[in-house]
Amino acid sequence: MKRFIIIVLFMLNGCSSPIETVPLFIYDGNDAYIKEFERKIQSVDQSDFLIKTYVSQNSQIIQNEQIDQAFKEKHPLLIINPVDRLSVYAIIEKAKQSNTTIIFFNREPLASDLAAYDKAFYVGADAAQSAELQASLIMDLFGNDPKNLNQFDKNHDGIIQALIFKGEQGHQDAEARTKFVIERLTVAGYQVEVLDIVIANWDRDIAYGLMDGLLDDYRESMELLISNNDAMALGAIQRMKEKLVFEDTNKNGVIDRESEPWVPVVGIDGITAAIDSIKSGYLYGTVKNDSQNMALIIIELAKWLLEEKSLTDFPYEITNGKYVWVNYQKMTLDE
Amino acid sequence: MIKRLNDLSIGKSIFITILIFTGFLTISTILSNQLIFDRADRLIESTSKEINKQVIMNYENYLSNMIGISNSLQEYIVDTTQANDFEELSRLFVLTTNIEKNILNVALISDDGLLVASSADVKINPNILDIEWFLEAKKTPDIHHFSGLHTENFFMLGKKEVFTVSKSVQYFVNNVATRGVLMIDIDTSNFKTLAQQTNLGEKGHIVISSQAEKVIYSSDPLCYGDDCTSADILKDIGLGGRLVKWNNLNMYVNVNTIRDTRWKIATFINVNEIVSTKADILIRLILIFVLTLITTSLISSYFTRRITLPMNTLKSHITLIEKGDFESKVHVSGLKEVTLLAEAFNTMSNRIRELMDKVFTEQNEKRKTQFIALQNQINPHFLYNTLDSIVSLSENNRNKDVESAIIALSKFFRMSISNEMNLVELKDEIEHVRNYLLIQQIRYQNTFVFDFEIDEEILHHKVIKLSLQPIVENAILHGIHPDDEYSTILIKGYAKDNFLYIEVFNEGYGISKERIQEIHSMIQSNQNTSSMGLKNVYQRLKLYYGDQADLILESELDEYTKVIMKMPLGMEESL
Repeated sequence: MKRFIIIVLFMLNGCSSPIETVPLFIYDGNDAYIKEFERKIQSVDQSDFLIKTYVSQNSQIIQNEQIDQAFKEKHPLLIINPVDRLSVYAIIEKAKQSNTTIIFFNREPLASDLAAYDKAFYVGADAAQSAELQASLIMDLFGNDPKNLNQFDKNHDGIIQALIFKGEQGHQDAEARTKFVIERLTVAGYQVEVLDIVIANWDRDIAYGLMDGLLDDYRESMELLISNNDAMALGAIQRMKEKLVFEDTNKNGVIDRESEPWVPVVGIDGITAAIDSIKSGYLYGTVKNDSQNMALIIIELAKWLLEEKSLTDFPYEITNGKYVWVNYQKMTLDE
Repeated sequence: MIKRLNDLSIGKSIFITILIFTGFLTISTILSNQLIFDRADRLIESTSKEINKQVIMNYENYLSNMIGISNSLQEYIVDTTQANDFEELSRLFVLTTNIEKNILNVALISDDGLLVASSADVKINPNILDIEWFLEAKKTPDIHHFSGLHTENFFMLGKKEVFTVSKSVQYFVNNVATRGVLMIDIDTSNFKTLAQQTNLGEKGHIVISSQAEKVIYSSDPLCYGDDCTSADILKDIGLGGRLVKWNNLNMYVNVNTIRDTRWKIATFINVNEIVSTKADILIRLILIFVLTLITTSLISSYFTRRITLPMNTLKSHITLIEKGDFESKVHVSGLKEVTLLAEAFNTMSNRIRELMDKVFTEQNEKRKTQFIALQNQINPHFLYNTLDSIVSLSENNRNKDVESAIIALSKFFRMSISNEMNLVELKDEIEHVRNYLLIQQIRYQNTFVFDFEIDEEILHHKVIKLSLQPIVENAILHGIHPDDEYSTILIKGYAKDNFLYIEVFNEGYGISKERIQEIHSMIQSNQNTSSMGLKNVYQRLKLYYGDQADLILESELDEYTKVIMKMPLGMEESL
């Protein structure tokens, strides 16, 4: 009887999915960036396979359950945006047993975990690169000559006085971005004085709230505000606008950097609100995380892996046989 | 199909019907139980998953709280060391241990293994560079490392059991960034209490293992070191849930990861009762099914026997009737319909027997009448002839002969009249024929002699009355040669091969073969013929004995004629 039911289910299953289904796991449906990213993946042409999205509600337990189910359904390939990058090793171990290919994205597993399985891949952006490009934005701002800073060195001491908004303490990207942006500037010969590093947990509202105290101390000395992401940058700008650090004196809705008060703020991510803010002259620049391209690469890689094509001819560069790095892009009014 | 069904015996069709019915009943029971079992399985699975989730959430909250504290401390480390205020950092560490009672020690150790700041005024363990949590923190600097349970070991002579959270951090020495390890020792009592907060059932427990599959903690007291079946099960499952046998108990095991750590946790939830109840139900179900099957077969075979047994009795009785036995009666007990059938059958066979008896009696009567009629034909004819002869004797004044003739005649008739029976003993028939011959000798004036050669043992056999006399009469009529004095009539009687033979032999012209044929066909036909006597005897023989009896003529021209009467032995009483 059980066998009969299984056969019936099998037949029903067979009828409804003539092509391969690839499960896609995203860590949380409330994260605007990830949600947008998921839509981009879904909108890529899916003639070769069907993408089915599972939302893990920011719970690794739920994601584990969903992935366990996917293993039971014997899908040959899974696309995973892990909730907890440290838990990924358990998924990789399980995948090894069933020889399932996995493409991770957005949250990078530990290198040692990925190295343990030749069918595990990671498509993502390098946090260091985002910091590098952010540093490059800053260099552009200050005239690209470390020995001879331009007018944005307000006190003309040849040192950049900077305030840093950091994401979550201990967060891989927050740590990397904070560390590398200063490192790059220093290596390039710029002198940077970090006035303060404040932790705002990637959050616009927290950044907004923290800005009051910071202005009390650094309103005059601050020459630059570096933020680990756009959200915190926008929160800070909002508050500074209210405190008239930014002032649209002619009320045309746009900050004229030549004639109106402003402070350079750089973010990372390139979210729509940030781009709007750049257009209206508030945000100086951001580094765009190219999720459109990343979605394309994930689907292309999935296709190649499902068809078992040799990755040596893969149109994008694959580092160490595992990593596909998607480049960030600088975004300012000029670029 | 229908034809095949029709071919089945009553027993088989009853059995098959009941079997089909039982089959349907069983299948529907199995199906509904399958449904219940599936539901129960799903319930077990979802309940244990919920419990597992609860346990993990407890641990995740607990550990993320620790990570939160560590993150805050890291901020302070940067702040205070930038300000070069290491005293303040140590005070902060002490404050932390005071606020959070679970935290026993906090320390910042340089990558070279020197104590930078500490909540306790102790000397650092000289082997600190080899301690696992220290090494691991340095190896993967961007994550928090959670050690297994151990005795305090960042300083010498530690006593309490702790687990250590360690993390590589940046700090400043004279405004120069450098790296060290922040370590937080946490009392394990809370950690253990968390395992007991959830009811996992009797002997239900949790196991936490490190990425290297080393047991960090198990709430099962039997599990320590490498000798731990629970840890093996955890390793085997890897991730996800499954029902397993653990120490002969049914446990639902869920393996999951704990967020922000490299730990796996397995919850062993005792579902023995549910599973064994399930098995119990299954066994009972099978038992009921088997019992039902046996009972069904017994009942069906009982009913079948109740129906078919009397049927078979009836059938064998019908065979008896086919063979002609109408006497025996069928006695069946059983179902009402069958006894009624048997009664009707008995009535029917009674009626048949009565009808047959009647037909038989009528036939017999008819035969007897015919027989007597035939017998009666003989006497008047003979009487006429004899009286005619006596008249002629008297005319010739042969008074002596008249006297002896009349005596013989009277003897002859006494015998033929006195006996009403159709059968007489052979000796009486012989005596009768002797009287007859005596009368005929007188009549034919001693032109022939006669003799008897009768075997002694057959003298008392019964023969048909007046059967011999017509043959002898025939022998005198055709056998006496007018010219030949003293022609002989010889009467022989003997038994051979279960037949009684009586031969009447006379010398004479003999009869041609054709004539014998003619006579044979004549006596067998129904036409009236001249040879009334022979025909009469032949018909009576056949009537009485059936086909076995015969009347045979033998002759040789100018030599002799012999008439043989052949009768089966042992049939004397049948008429």
